[in-house]
Amino acid sequence: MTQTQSNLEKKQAHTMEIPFLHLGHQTWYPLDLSAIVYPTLQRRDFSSVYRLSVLLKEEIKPDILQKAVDMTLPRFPTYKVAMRKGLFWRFLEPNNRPGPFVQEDVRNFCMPMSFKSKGRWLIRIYYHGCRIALEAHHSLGDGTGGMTLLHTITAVYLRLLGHEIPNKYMVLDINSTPHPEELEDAYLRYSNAKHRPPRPMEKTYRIRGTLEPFFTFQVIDGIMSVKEVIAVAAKYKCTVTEYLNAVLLYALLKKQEEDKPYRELPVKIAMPVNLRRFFPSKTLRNFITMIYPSIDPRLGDYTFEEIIKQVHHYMRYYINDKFLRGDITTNAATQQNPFIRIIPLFIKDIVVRTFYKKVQDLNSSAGLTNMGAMKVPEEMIPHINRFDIYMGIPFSPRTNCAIISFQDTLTINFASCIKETDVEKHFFSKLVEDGVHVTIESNR
Amino acid sequence: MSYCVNCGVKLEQSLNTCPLCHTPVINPNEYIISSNNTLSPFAVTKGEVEPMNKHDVGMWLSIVLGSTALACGILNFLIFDHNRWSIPVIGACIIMWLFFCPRMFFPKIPIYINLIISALSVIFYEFSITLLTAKDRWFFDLVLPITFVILILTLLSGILYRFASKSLVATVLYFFIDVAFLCLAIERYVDNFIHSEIHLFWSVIVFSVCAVISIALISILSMARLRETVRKRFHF
Repeated sequence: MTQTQSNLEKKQAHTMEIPFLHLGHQTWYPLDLSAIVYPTLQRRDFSSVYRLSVLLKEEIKPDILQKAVDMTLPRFPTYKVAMRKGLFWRFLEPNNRPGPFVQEDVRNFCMPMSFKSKGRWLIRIYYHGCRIALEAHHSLGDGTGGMTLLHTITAVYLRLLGHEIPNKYMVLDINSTPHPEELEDAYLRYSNAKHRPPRPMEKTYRIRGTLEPFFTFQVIDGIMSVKEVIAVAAKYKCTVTEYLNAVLLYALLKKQEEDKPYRELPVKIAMPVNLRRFFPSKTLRNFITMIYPSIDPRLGDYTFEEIIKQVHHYMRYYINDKFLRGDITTNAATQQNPFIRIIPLFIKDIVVRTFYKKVQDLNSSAGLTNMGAMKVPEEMIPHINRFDIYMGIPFSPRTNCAIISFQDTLTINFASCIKETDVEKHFFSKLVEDGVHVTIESNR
Repeated sequence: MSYCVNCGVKLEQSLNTCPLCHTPVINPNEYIISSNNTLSPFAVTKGEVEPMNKHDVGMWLSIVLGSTALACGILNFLIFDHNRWSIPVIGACIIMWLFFCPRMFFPKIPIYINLIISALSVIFYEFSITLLTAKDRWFFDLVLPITFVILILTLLSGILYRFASKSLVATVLYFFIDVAFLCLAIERYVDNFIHSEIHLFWSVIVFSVCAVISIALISILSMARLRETVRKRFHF
């Protein structure tokens, strides 16, 4: 057995033993590697909140939904928490206050979540017509974790209505105790590459737009057929994610061209990759890393086919366990550095916020996430129309795009805090041009 | 359902304009349906951010400041009683309490009232220092009027920022206007205090520079094309 393997096993064993820490009878959870950043970016008008929703076929009954939430939440201890501050790091503490209470949906969703609000809840559950929506602070977990909670709440809700729904795929058994792996910080288990590749740090094109008044959240949803998009992607010899990435890059390039900038900059997309695909883990907390497909217009004019080729090869090159392991090792190294660990939290906050503002945020022109095809137990399928996902309000004026599909319905949700809709227009126009039938919904 | 004639996308029934290109939807066949109050898939009511609960911090700060002031007062009264040294310390505690605590206990208190309370507390503190000095002319002739000028300029800038414009250029404009008038006021009251007559000199130079900058900023603000060019050329 090599030393690396033995170290890895030791680390795994350690993580499995202590997924959360006990202080007497009190349980608390240190923030995972990704979650550390989100609270530092908290402003009066900004929280890293994302929204997942499911559109059922029957109108939602709020009292039954409340019962379903009350029954489900204890099964998800890392979502039934409040954020607290320590001297060196923040941490999550079990929240036994009343709630969270289901509430009628609002127009301006993904509102900031104060850590010191009355209930201190970091999740919200809304209903409107046939829609159940879950909003969660990114410190608790990523889209996969949130979606597992939403699936389980929906399944319990349908059970309370008298339907037989088995525990399968993302529907967890609410009577079972959480598996320790569900609560772990999986980054620590896999951050063991021998080399730490440097972080990409390049100034990219920024969408300039008129900020909406506080607090407005504008969304444009495009609904289309999965089969149609697959057919178009096949025509370009790429996957659906690669195709939609290329379309967004194309829209951003067009927007930059229209802006007539003094000097052009590369156009880059920040795209989260679900690490569970490469590193087995059942964690419901954050386990993602970012990749940045990009096009540099300074090198010449790219045709759409060339953009697709570029994205296709970039993804093949970077999305594999070797590169991703290197990436999470780089991120973990900063957090595990003993000198950084002993710096008081308020100094860490200032440094992290400044780094994010000056470097990380400028590193991408837009965000794109693809949750992929949602799998639910067969018994649930007749009750569900579609799923939606919103990446939440962007930290700086720009647009975020989130993709999810269910059966033959693919939904592309654009979330933005600026008035201009040029990127969205170019994006959907390109899809229409390629022969995809798009239906638009919007709260604008 | 209608299609946008410009983008070619199908539009959900409740939409009156295309959200992508803002082209109005004109479909005579669907007029009757849409006039029947078609439901939007999105909620209509606007949510409000849950206010932060700062009572705990407010209580903690009140206890810390209160106990500091009390301890200093007792020590000054009973042990170290050669002069009234505790007055500025107690004054500082009161100022800090008035600066930070009212908004923690009463989050809905208007910002202007809070500002006036803070200014009054500063004036009170300055007055408390006169108790340690032989004369109080410096307070009435110099400190009090300058504090009032700062308060009035801050209030006016706050009102302009809130109701006129919040852009970066406008904020810089308010700053230069404030600096210009503050310098004039400082030189006027200092001259009056020291020489008992007013000869404005350096503040007029500052005022003229600020006036030139302000005129340039007002031009940028009033001309949309110029503003756009500046934004384009200087964006970073």
